[in-house]
Amino acid sequence: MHETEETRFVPKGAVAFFIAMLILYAVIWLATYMVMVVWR
Amino acid sequence: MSIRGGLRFILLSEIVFPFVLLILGVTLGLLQVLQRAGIIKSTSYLGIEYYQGLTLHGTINAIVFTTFIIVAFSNAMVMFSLKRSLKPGVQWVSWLLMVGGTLMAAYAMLTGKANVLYTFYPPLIAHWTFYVGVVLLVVGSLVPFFFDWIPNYIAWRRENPTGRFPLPVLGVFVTFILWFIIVIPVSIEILFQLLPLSLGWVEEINPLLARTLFWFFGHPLVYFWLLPAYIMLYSILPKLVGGKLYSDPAARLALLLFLVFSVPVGLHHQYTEGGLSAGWKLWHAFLTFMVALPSFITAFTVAASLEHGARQRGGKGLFAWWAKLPYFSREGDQWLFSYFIAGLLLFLFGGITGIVNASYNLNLAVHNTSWVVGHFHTTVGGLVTLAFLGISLYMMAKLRGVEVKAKGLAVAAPYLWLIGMMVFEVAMSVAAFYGFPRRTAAGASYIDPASPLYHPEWYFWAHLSAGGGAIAVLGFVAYLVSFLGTLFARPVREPVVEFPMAEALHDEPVPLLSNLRPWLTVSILLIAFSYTYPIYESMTKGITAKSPAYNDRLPVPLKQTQTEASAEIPR
Repeated sequence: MHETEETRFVPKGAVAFFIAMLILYAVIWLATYMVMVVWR
Repeated sequence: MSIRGGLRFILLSEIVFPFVLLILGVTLGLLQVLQRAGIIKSTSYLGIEYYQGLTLHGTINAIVFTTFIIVAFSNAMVMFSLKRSLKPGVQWVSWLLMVGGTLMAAYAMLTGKANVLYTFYPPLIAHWTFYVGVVLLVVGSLVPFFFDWIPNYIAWRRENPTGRFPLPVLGVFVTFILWFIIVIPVSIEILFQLLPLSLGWVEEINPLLARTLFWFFGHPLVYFWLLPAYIMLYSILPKLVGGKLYSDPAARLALLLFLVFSVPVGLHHQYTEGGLSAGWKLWHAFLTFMVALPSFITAFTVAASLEHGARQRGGKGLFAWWAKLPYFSREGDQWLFSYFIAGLLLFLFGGITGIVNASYNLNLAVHNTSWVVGHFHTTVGGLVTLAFLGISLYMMAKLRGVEVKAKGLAVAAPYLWLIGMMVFEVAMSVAAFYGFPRRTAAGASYIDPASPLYHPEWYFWAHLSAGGGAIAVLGFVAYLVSFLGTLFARPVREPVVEFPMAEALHDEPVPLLSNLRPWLTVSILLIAFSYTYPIYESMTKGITAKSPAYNDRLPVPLKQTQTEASAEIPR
């Protein structure tokens, strides 16, 4: 494929967002698990 | 593309008719939170019983509003993408079935003869008009797919033999194939179980089988709501921010993966159900986690598309580019961005709370608690509702040939909704940790300090959820002003069907991603494998005995109440 300035665009910000989202999800899931174990 | 006459009326009424009902549905939602918090202590208010209001709230908001808007959006998107007009005759048949069915179901609900909630679990039983109405609405929604869009696509394909399946049309087709598949089990439940019991043709039915058939339909229903919103995120959102869709193949892959994984997941709603094997529940749990895959692909693709747009607008850094997005812009069509971004922020939390629901272990702790209520108010009540409200206002303005009125309020509305729903979600989730139940009219008992059933640990969170609900309703009022202003504005141009469509940055052709057949084949095989034994178990091994019909008023079978002539009955 012909490479242009646009196709060279690397979504580093989207990768960072995605990693942050996965970390947030893991934290919420584990926190929920802990709360359930301790409280209920 | 210009539009006139009957077709224009049909598309407009498919937006305005459910919106009128939605006003009632949202009002009843506010009453729900006020009643659950004990701010309104009576379980009957404005002549509407609590469970009657809950049924109306769920059915109007989650079934009627969504179905009408999905059909209206799909009609317009197929017409616009294929540049072919719709068939008025087919559209009128669809319209009459959908409106007629909705009015039948509304009659049953408004007269208190169908207080069965939107899940219509037996042995609660409704008046037959409720079930027939729901079936007509669903059948009507499928008519355009089979008799208008497919023939139009075939004709388009003949004229464009080398053209690629347009992404939005592929999305619409995946949505309606999914819809057709899941309508089959719920139709069997309605036609062979609920309707005969409602009409008195049978004495009792198997509630376990009914629930299994319902969730065969009920969970994929969520993707029937979500997929049109995803189509908007892929096709429209990048254009609004001045960017491009990051990857056309990724978008197609996500849509097609939904076709494969989104149906055989229903048993994760039945983890606590006796009579279904734990192994099959675990299998459905696994597949439910697989559905997260296309949503994760979507999360990344949408973020990358937003980043592309933000960088065109001067965005820098790893995270700072987010500040360059047009959150409060009223220029041109950019007001629509606020609906998508607010919906996405809510959906971020809908995703993780859904993963908790899907987890076999955690689900057992949150099952039937307010956690579930918080979850679906950030999914169907979040991204789906906001995307549908936004696109309704957009399409209505185009179809009327007017500018959107009160744009400031139109932009404020989704953010008020976002704040309100987030408060509601947090309150419901924390209350769930203390075991706060869903559905229940708690204000008259658990939240009432004078009641022997009083639970002080639920009091604050129930009131906080009422505050969140009230803020969300303020957002809806702001939207209402803009909607009505636009509806009654003087036309200034020709009515059109058009959407701001984004180009793709990466649009390398992948033939497998434009061919529905292999994905559909895998989907059917996976569904057959995943549901054959659970349905067999539901029919033969369930520990739940067959049950006669009940209503929501007395804990005795309806037949007994009829004999004693001691209660008003919904037959």
